[in-house]
Amino acid sequence: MIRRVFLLTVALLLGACATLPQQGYNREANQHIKKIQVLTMPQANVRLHIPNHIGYSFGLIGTLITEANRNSKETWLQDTAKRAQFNQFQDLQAALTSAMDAKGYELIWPEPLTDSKGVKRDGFELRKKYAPVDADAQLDLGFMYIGYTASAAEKSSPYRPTIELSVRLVSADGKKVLYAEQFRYHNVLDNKEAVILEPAPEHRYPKFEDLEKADLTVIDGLRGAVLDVANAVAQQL
Amino acid sequence: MNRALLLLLSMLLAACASKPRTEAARFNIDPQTCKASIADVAALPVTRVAAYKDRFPKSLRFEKVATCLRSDNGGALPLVLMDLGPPAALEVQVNLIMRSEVVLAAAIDLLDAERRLIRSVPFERFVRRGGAYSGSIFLNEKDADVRYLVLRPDPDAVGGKNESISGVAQTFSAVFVSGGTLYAVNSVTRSEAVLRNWLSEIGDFQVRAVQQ
Repeated sequence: MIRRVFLLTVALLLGACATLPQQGYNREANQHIKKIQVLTMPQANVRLHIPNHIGYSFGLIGTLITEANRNSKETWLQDTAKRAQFNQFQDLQAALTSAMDAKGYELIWPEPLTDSKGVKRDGFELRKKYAPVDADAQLDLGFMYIGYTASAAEKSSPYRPTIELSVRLVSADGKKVLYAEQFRYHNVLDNKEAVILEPAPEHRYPKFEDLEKADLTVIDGLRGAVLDVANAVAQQL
Repeated sequence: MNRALLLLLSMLLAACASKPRTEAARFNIDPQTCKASIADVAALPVTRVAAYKDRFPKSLRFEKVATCLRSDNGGALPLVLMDLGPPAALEVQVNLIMRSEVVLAAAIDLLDAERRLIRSVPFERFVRRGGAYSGSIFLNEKDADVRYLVLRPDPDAVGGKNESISGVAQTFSAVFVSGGTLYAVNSVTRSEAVLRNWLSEIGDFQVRAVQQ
């Protein structure tokens, strides 16, 4: 449990300050790129957090109590996502295929969509190495976070759908980065460098009880967030 | 006595607190100081870097480095002219940094060696980040004629307002002594805030060119 809390704290701290070196996409110099191989994505569960919750400031006991409370809420959200048959990878696949098709790109998706064991990733959930692919380029996508977050444990800081997605487009031979960017839907950690997307106002839940009352509707908030992020990615390419 | 002290403290705090801005910040120009031609405007150099991981150059304040140019219709246009250096394949990155609810809503013009307009990039092509708007312009082989870059307020964007929901951090620090040992406590909490930015004629910016 203590190890988990420590890892969680480190992950949230990293998420606050770490930013992927941004690289724009040179559309004109890469006009030959039409068929893109999408690589398998890292596993990412639906999560629920209040970063820097005041409870974490009250020593080990405070941290354990806060974490136990968060854990039960997160379990509820994960169960609700299951009941709604929500699969963020499939949603991203559908939304990105459609948005990229509209721009003249053909995406080739792997089966299954997520990693098998042995794929080494960096702190941005992107691959450390790339192998050649049979396409014009390869697209690496990694959810750093998907779920609900609130800025604080108070009504004026409601729970909102949240996504952090890292994106890297790499040449077919795996040797050259063509585009790199981080997208954040609901900037709960006040990141200064990622592309920021505003959360939908209709999915604003002041208390956890409001999330429970909304039941399956909260998953519509996550679906909308995935759609908005996919459209923003396609817009850049 | 306590009441008087509290009153004094309240007055001091009220004096320090800045009121929220209600409109875009404008560039105050004295038309008498305007240059008649772009040929008379001095150019600032654009920093070239070899890799994306290299640092951005220090930000510049538009209102401090801008030159006023008299336009054809008698109006005055503030602008910053920058020299891109010899032709090369480049990604020119421009950051328009948010500060005190103000961000420069800039459009970019690319000029040739004779300082004639080749093409423009409007502010709407910039992407909003947490602390800045950013835009990239790629200079490829066909752009060999491009020699200068101009930053100027985009009239189609100036006056607009942007609001962003963000988790803003507050840091609490305390130092205390117990049993002869000095303890320091540092705690960070957050709360949700709506960060507003007015798209203005002034503001801070950074420009660099990354070699391709």
